[in-house]
Amino acid sequence: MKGIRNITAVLLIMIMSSCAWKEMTPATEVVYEGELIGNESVTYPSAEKVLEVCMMTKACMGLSEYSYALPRIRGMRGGNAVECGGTLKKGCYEAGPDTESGKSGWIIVPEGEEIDIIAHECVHHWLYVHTGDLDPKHESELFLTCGGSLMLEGDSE
Amino acid sequence: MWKELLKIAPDLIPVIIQTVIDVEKVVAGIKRGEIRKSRVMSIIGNILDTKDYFVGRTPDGQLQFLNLVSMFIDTIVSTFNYTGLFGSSDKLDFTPIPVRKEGLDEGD
Repeated sequence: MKGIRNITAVLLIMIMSSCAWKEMTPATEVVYEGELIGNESVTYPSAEKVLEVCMMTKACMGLSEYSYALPRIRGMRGGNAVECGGTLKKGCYEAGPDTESGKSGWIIVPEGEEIDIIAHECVHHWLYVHTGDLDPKHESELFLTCGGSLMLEGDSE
Repeated sequence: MWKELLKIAPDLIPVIIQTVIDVEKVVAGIKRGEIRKSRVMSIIGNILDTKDYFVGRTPDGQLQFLNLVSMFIDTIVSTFNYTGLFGSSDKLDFTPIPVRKEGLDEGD
């Protein structure tokens, strides 16, 4: 029982410290725009990691067998948040016009933020291409089980 | 779920949390994408065997117990993800890097 109390206390401290308020400022300058891994002429330092995280998210959601198109990404500079549906957020996913064309959507993120935000936006993306609903209200449990740094679910090896 | 697991095996809860943390610590870097819940479940399964949690349980009872453990692991993972406890220290860097095309010689 003492062990449970200790762990609960540690978790509470972690939760409280993670809730520290941080002012959001809009990033307005587009630094990179294109495929996750880079374009024909230009790429970016985080490209490999971003692609890896998005593929991990897909596997975590049990969608590895589907050959859905990857999202594209727009990296913004000048602030720590991006405009998304009229509000400032850490990241944003904008769905494409349809799921058939391969132009399935855009992940929009500010430079300098943690790469884990990519997992969250990729959950929106894979949900959208798989179900047609990107789940803007975050009702799917997949945002918690696959949309962070820990991904224990997945297809068997 | 918490109550049921607390009732059946209270000493198992810290063990599960610790196992999830240990797996995260051990399997780092590129391998992280290959972390499987089955790995955690396998470790917990071994603990269950050695500590006789399964003794006196029917196969259905054992399955039910494992389901409880599985649900509990999901909750722990969700909590860690929500709090960002294992958040990556990697930051997004979009500094443009020109791609050099093979076969093209560059000169002044």
